Amino acid sequence: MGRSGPSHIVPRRSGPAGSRTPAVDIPAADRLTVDASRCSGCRDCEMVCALVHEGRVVPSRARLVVRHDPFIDDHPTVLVCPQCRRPECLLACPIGAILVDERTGARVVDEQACDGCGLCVEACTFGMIWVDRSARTARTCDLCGGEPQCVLHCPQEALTYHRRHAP
Amino acid sequence: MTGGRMGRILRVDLTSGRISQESTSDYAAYVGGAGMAARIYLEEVRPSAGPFDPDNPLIFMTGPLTGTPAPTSGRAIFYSKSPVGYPEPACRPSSVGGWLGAELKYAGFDGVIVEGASPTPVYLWIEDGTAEVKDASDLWGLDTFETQRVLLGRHDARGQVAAIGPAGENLGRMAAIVHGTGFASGLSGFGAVMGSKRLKAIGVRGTGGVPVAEPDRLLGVVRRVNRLVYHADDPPRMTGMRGLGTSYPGGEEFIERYSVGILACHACPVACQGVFRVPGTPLGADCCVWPHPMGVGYTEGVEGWEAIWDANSIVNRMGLSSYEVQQAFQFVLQLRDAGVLDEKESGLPLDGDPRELFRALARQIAYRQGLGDHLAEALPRAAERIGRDAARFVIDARGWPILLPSEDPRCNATKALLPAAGAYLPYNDTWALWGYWGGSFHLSITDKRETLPQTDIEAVAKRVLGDERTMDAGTFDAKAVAVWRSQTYRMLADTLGFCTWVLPLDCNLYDDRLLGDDAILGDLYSAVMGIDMSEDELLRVGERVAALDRLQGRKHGYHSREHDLRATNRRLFSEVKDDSPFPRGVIDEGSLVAELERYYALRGWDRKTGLPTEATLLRLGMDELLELAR
Repeated sequence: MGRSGPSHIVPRRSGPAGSRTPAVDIPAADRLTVDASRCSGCRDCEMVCALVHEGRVVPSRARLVVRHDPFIDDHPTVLVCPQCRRPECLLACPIGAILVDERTGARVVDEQACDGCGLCVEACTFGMIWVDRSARTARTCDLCGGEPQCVLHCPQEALTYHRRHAP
Repeated sequence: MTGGRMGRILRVDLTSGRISQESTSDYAAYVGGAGMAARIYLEEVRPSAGPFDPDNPLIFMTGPLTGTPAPTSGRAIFYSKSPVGYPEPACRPSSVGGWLGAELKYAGFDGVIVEGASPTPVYLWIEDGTAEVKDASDLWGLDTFETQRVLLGRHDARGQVAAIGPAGENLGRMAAIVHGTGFASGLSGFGAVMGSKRLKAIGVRGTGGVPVAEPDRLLGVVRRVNRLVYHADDPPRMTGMRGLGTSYPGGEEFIERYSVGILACHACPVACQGVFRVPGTPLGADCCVWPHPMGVGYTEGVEGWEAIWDANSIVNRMGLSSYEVQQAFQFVLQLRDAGVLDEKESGLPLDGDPRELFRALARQIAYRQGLGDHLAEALPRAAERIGRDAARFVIDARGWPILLPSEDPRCNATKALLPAAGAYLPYNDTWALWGYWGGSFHLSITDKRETLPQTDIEAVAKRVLGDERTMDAGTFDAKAVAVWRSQTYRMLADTLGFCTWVLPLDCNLYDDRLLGDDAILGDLYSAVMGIDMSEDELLRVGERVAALDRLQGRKHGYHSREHDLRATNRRLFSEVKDDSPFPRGVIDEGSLVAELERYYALRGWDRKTGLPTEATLLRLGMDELLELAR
């Protein structure tokens, strides 16, 4: 699954934790994009994500979210971590527990270090990072270390993986 | 590690308000879905319980694959005694797609048994291991979309709801249980069973997870099936309005103008629903096989298609079975043309715009107004009530509607044998129907199927069923094995939780030799459950469900050789159909009975009684039920 042995770049901070100073030294990350017009709402991506990360099919813990409110908007779409050029989650972390995956540039949580304080959750304007209360750690998309399983298993080819990171 | 099941079944008694839980493993021999539900029903329900009696339980049951990424595993079943059965009500599953079954698993349950009846309107809300019966007096009277919208707003927008509309509240036998904007448990009148319990809706929210024994193996099978099913250059979307659009004028323009995208059930790579945005019609989605232009008063051109979309929306919102309303519509037109009905008596705009007529008819049936009060009883009973020769215009299979003219049993011997072979599947509702489509429907219906020579189809039939005559529509030769296989897979689908539109994949049109993949189901089951299971062993599970269904019918008075012999509408033996492939244009009763007996033999049922023999029950490991077979 490409999840073993990630090595991380620890980005240098150009200001104090939580500072608004642009972090120019954070490299661009690979990212996922969604073609909502192709999405059928089958939720394979959520299920597969949960299965590879949690070992069982628990979509509420998936790192991406299929949004479908049939009585408000008739068509589903998938919300994914945009892997921000300026990752507010990373900048907000007071203990440096959000790292950059060397292989993909993904902004990933160091789950050993994270204490689940939730400042990253507040900082993310996309709602794509959250705290798993039972494990007391933040969780977000890690791009499966470069082989995103959601992309591989989407039957409609609605998800695309873009390589932007130069290792 | 074993996976697939959550281990608990919820039991809700609406009479006492008592909620309890029991272990799923008590019924493990019947795997899940229709198998488990039938076993529970067989044990608990007295034969005299009528469909609308409080002691006729409504069982909602998922399969072990439901909630996992196993392709097409989003389906789950409702099981109860159906008011559609005629002359005798019959117990059946009626499946529903969408996301309801998966959400129930995530909430920690494999199934829900609803028994009793509430004195006042209620709904059931299930959330992460708990359940509550709540007052629904403010919801009673709302349509299915409004009901779902209110409950999702009140509880959790990420939940899933199945609701009844006015049709179910008014105990219409055509009433469906509707989920989302286009999914329904439609063909067994279970909306009315819910109505009889004053149960307006079942809502579920779950944040838990389904265990999977071998995740990597499961994901491998998912990729394998997705590759077989999805071809970017020829997507399997020749279904619903998107599919029919190419064959009726105005359809392509309609799709071009209004299509927003597609919609799939949970874990389905096919996505057979189309989503359209048509000004003036509420948001919605069409069902995979519905609406058929001919069934809803189609008039040529894009305006006709807008009316079809509108009809689709009305039927779903009223909580009606679209199939049956279409037949009621055709029935009314025929009664009009024969001079049996007039505008004044029917209260319908019989001679006006057919689209207006359909709209008026759907409302009449849902609210039991005018002629709709008769029609709400479903066609065989409606014809009795209308009298005056109206029965001449109805063909049914044990009460279940036969969509005319395409499903007329005089057009295909497999379809002619189905009603005689039991109440589980008396009509063509399995799209892998052998002898008809020849393999999985979604593949059968692409352009490639159209260009496939008959010799190729017969070669596939020979390989899969051992007899190419299964594909010969005009004789009963080898139809027993076609029905046997179609039924058994349907029962397996209802039990494991998969969809017969895609699986079994008997024939892959994209393969040079048309080879299918007969290991998919066994692999999915083994990967999810952690118990190795071959396709043959799975078929044995289907066999067990078939025997169980037979015993259920014996106990509840609708299965026996006598019932089978009178299940075929007598008119089909004498009234000639001009374009029938049968030599005389009618069904030959002697050949039908002879093939029915061959069908009994394949199942291991007694030729004289049509019931499983003791030896068959022992062979299937159903010793515990021997008493019922004596």
